[in-house]
Amino acid sequence: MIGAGVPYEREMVPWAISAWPADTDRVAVGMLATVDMNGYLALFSVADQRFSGGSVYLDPGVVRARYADSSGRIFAVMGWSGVLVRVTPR
Amino acid sequence: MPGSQLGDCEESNPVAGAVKAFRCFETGVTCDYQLLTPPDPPAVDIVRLPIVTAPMMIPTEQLLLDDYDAWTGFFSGSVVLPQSVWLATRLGSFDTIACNEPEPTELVHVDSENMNIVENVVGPSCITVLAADPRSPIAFIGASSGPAPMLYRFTGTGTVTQSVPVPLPIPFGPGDQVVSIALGANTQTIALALTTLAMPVEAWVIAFDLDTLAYRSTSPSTESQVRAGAFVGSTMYVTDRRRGRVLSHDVGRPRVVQSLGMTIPRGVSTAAGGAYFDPASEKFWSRRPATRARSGCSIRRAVIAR
Repeated sequence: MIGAGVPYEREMVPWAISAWPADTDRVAVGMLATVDMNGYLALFSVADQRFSGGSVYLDPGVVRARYADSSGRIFAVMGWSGVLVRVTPR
Repeated sequence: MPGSQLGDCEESNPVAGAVKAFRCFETGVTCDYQLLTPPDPPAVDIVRLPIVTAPMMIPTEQLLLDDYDAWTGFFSGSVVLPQSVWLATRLGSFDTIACNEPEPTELVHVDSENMNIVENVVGPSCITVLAADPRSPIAFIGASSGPAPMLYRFTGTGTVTQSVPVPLPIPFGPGDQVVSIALGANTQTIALALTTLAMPVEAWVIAFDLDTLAYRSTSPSTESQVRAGAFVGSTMYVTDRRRGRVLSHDVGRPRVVQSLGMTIPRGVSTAAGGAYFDPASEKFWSRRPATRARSGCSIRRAVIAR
């Protein structure tokens, strides 16, 4: 194992992982906050082996799967709320 | 440090972006702390599209996150194509992974540009995984679960054009379930990772010809459940739930070859969707459900307000 990191903003557990096309040094992680059971997008730094912080609220519940498409967007499938979330880096 | 329970600390060198750094000594354990200001969240635009009209559900096992399976939910398979997203769901059904009733799967076609639902298509029963079809930018493939799993090829409108039964490596009794966990394809081969839900706990990777869907070969059994997989090049990587391993299965050979790969902490990637292989860096990413480090250095929230 190369390294590991835990999120420090709030207690969250990771569920799904994908590339983060806007910055190939980071991967996008679908998180579930264990207090309010909301889903968040967090970024994990490959170089630093830690979560970058600054997570983004997605929707209630667990992130069932994440995908990056050829246009640099991320799609999060929210299994508990039944919602598809598209995240487009500005 | 107010309220500190970190033991004796001394300042150390902060990493880039950190305001302060401390090295603390606590009951024989040395811990390094970096104090960071809250970073700006990434600048993003978010669009949400409700797919399921049923009210949100939270599984009863939510508090047992170490054992919780992310596959619980309204969706089973999903795939992102260049201009569309396909989601497999059984509307109103929450635990979609098991196939106790041979209900049809609803395939929801989403235009990824305008985030509208294009169509809902009634598909074969118990579809649990979808993947892109390398033969077409709009077509996709899928596999079902249950007592008699199948492999399917779909057009860009969700119509089944080819299907074959998945040959089961061992005989199963009435009511036994086999779950299609991960699916992928390259320009020659389709790879499908299967696992059992009950005893005997086993998992395999099965290879099919991309064009004809003809069966090619089956890997040795992992003799454990797998809960996630990622197909890269000609290799299907699967996570072994019980033993904490990532196994690689090379489907580019006449027989699917299994090699014992990395050992990872127990509990890593127990959930579908928890595995990701970055071909650029050749790094395998996985998740660990624990919320705290299990070393002697517990994680404390050490964020300085702006």
